[in-house]
Amino acid sequence: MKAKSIKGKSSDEIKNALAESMADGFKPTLAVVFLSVKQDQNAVCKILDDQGISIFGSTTSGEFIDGDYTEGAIAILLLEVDQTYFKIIFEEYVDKDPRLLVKHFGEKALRFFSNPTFILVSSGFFLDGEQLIRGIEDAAGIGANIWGGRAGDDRMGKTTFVFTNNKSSEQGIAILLIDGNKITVKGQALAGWKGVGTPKTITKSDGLWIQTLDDQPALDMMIKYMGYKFEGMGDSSPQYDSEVTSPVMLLREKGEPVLRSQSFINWSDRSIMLSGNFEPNAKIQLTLPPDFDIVDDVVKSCQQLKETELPEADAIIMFSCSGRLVELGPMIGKEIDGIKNTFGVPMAGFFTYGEYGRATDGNNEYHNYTCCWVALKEKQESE
Amino acid sequence: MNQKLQNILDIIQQSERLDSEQKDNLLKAVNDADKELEITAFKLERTEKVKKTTAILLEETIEELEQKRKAVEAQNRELEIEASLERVRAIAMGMDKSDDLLAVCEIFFKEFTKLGFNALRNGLINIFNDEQKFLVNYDYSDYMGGSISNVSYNSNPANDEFLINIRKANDAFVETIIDRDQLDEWKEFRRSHGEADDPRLDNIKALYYYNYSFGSGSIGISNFEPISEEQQIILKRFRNVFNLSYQRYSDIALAEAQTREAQIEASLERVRAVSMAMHKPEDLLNVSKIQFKEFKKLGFSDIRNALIAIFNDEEEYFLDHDYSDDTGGNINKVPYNSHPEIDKLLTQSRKANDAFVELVIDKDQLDRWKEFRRSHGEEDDPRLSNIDALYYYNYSIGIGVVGFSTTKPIGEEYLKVLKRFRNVFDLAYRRYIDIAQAEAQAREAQIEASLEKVRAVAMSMNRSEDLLSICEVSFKEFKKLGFDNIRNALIHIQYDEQKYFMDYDFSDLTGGAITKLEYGSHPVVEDYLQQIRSAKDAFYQGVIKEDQLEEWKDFRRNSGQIDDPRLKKSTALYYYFFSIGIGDIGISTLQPINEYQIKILKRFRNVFDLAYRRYTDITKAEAQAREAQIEAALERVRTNAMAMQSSNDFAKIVEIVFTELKKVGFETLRCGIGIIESAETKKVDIWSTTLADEDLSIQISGDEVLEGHALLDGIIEHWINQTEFSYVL
Repeated sequence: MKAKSIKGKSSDEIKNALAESMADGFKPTLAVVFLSVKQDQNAVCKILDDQGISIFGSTTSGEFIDGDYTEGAIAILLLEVDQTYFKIIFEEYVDKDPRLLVKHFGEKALRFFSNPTFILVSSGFFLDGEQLIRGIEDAAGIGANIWGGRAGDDRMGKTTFVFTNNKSSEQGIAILLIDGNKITVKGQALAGWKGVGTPKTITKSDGLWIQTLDDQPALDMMIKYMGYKFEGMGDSSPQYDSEVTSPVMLLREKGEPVLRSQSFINWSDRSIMLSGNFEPNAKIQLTLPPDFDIVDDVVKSCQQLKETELPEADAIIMFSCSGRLVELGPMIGKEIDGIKNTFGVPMAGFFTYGEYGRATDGNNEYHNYTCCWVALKEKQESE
Repeated sequence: MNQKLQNILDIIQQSERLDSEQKDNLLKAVNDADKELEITAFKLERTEKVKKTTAILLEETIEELEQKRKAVEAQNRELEIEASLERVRAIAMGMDKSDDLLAVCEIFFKEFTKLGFNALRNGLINIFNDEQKFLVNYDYSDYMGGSISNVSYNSNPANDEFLINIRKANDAFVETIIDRDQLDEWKEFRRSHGEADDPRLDNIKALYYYNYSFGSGSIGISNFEPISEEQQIILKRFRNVFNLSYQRYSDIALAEAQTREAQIEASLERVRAVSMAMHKPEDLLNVSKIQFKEFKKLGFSDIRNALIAIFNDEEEYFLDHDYSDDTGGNINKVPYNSHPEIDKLLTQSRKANDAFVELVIDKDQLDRWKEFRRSHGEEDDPRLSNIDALYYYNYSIGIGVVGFSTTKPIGEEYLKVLKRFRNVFDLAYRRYIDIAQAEAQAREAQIEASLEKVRAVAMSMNRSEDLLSICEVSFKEFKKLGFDNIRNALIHIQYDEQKYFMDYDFSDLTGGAITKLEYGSHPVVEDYLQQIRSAKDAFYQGVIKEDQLEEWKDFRRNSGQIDDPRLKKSTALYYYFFSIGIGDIGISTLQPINEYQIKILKRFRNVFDLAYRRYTDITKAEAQAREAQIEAALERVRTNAMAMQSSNDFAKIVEIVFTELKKVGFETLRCGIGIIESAETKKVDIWSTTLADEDLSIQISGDEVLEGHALLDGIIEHWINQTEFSYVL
């Protein structure tokens, strides 16, 4: 497998970068495309499509091919890989049970490959990410290799997209299926956020919305503890606010605690919306952002994986939460570079609204505020 | 970029003294510095933000911890209160009688003390009795102990005000403060309903009462100081716990009372059923028996026996019907004035129709009492040994008493039950008496009807054989009157001169028979005669049993009586006779008869006696009239005979004789006079009269020889011997 990453601030720049990358005879068969909603998605896709390249794409809240991340631009990982080693599944989930839908994907994947790896991106704000994880596991088993992220929209909270050749959807799911027998895919998901304060009980909730914590309005509690300052207070409709950056730690009876972002709020009933599901009466903890050395920890963990599991890689794909961008600021570039430099191979990634990946306890989870990355390595014939 | 660095950058870029490589190095250094500066600024900003959040969190956590500390303290206090309430609940739930309220007061007091009621005087419970206008006050303090007192309504203004306010709602709260100037009056009020003086009231400024209503009463405390709000809340919680428990107690007590009532009603129903089924005085024993058994079922474990006594003032005794499982049933006749306690029973039970009489026979009186019991035929009761006293509890029913005896004193509840037994029995017994009277009247009418039939037959007697008809009608009427074992009805008429008596008897099996029995013909007869002749209305009662019976059958056979097949199966034969002076009337039976039947027999005797006297009187008068008639006839014959002047007058004489005989009832075909010439010639002249075609005709014949026929020979022979002669052709 050969890989190159390109970036540009427009489709024209991409067109040029693509041409330049192919000048040495590099013939990509798969493009992993992460672009801003502000970009001309169709134009970019047409450029790639014209080259016969399969597209696996998502809109972003920032994109990068190295530590020099951008917002409003385009980052593409080009892979020259046998087309039989991968498949792209694309489907809209409107009016469908997402878990069931994804389960069908899982079943389909098993028909393609006996040992598939799932790299998935999803669009839409109200899709419960956890259902996607469980749906794939329903078909492929609990140990399925699942990674990915939720599409972003430059932290505007309006519309996100996933896309492939000739298809794009703001309520869709795209899965890049990789034949695990041909390509090794390994990755990590690390967050670094720490729970603080006493656990609070969700005393009233409705779907992903939490109305009260310890019988107090959830929004009031978040404001009180986290010192949020909102614009548009009093608006009765649910609204997105990029200032809501602190995730909550969802404490679960089984498995490790997971982070949940809560970027939507409702002033009328003073509720907040989490990006993933939770049990009624579950407990949460407020969080503080990680210490500044979290960047070093992520990089060290990556290095450890390289030393123990995957000495070499052909390419890296990274899904880093947009919240990390806010909380780590300019240090996020250091984190991206650290991972890229560990393997020294082309990479592409974007800042997401949620991440799919294996937690440190080995369980597949839907995450928030997490740095998720995967390294791909085509297996040798002898392997 | 930082403005100062930007300035440096601009200077470097504009510098002409620096070469390109130097510029690149310096620019990179400036960019790196800017990046470092940016990171540092970011770190600073974020640290500030985190610091602020941490500070809030810390502050909130401290506040939270403080709240939790308070919550834990409140929880501990709550646990303490709950534990107290639990102990109160345990005691209250264990209540099974009203006196247990004192134990509840005690636990109140102790738990209030544990919970810091430092000025507590006592714990109180009041139970209202509106019907009788008083409240029962239960109170407890460690200092004074427990006390129960009845406090009348309208006996103290402060108490009255308390009563008005506490009755306003089922959970009303009332604070009553007795000021220093009211305290003396209050102490006097307490004394007036029997509460002991409490020395703690002597040197206080005021006394505070706090009560919560629970509907039928109140619970509270009295305190030497006002209580706090928290203490009032605790008091209310005690009230709530107690209220539930008391409600449960009341419900259970009510249910138990209803169950008990149902048991009593069932017992009363059984007593009523047996009492209503009475149809003879002896059945009172059945009533005693059912009363004993039902008393036992109702838990009268100390009952010795159940009693019913029916007074007989006329004969100055009462019949005592008593029953116990140990001694069975007994009926004893107890004379009036036979023991002081009996006199007491009689006197007190007459005071009212439902008078209650309790007799207690103390240990030192027991021997005399046992002797008294023996004296009227009661058997010794071993249960009377080793007891301290014997108790009799009786309720009057007017004509007697109903009750029971026990070896231990009994409580009020059992006396109430006894009274209800008495009421049930009283009604049933009255009904029995009424029915018995009605039945007795009906029976009397039946007896009178029977006597009337006997009287009718007896009055129509005109000859001695008619006595058989009287026997027959008597037998049938005895049967109708329930003499089921009657064998026959008998009348004996004695003939002292001839030393025999005639026995007329009748039964439906053997029919009527007349037998002549000689005096002294059998020892039984001898004995019978001796007794029956002892008075004009003497009564004879005899029985012939087993081995005597065969001999008696022989005697009857020898006397000409036919064998009675009923005697073959019998083991005894009973005779009952009442004298009528010249004889007697009676019955023989195969089983003994009772007193009542003997009385009926006597009434038959009276009817028969009168009728038979009339019969004998008429017979006598008739005999006298006939004698006069005969004498008159004789006189007429005599007159004509005296007037005879020749043998020709014989014709007239035989006519007169014929006529006079006819008048005195002779259905004569012919009569005559013969004058015999001599024994040798046997010749006779005859004047005879006969009736031909309803006219008298006189035939005269002479020189007839009286021989050649036994009749004629007999005439001559008896004429010669001068003896009477009769001959049947």
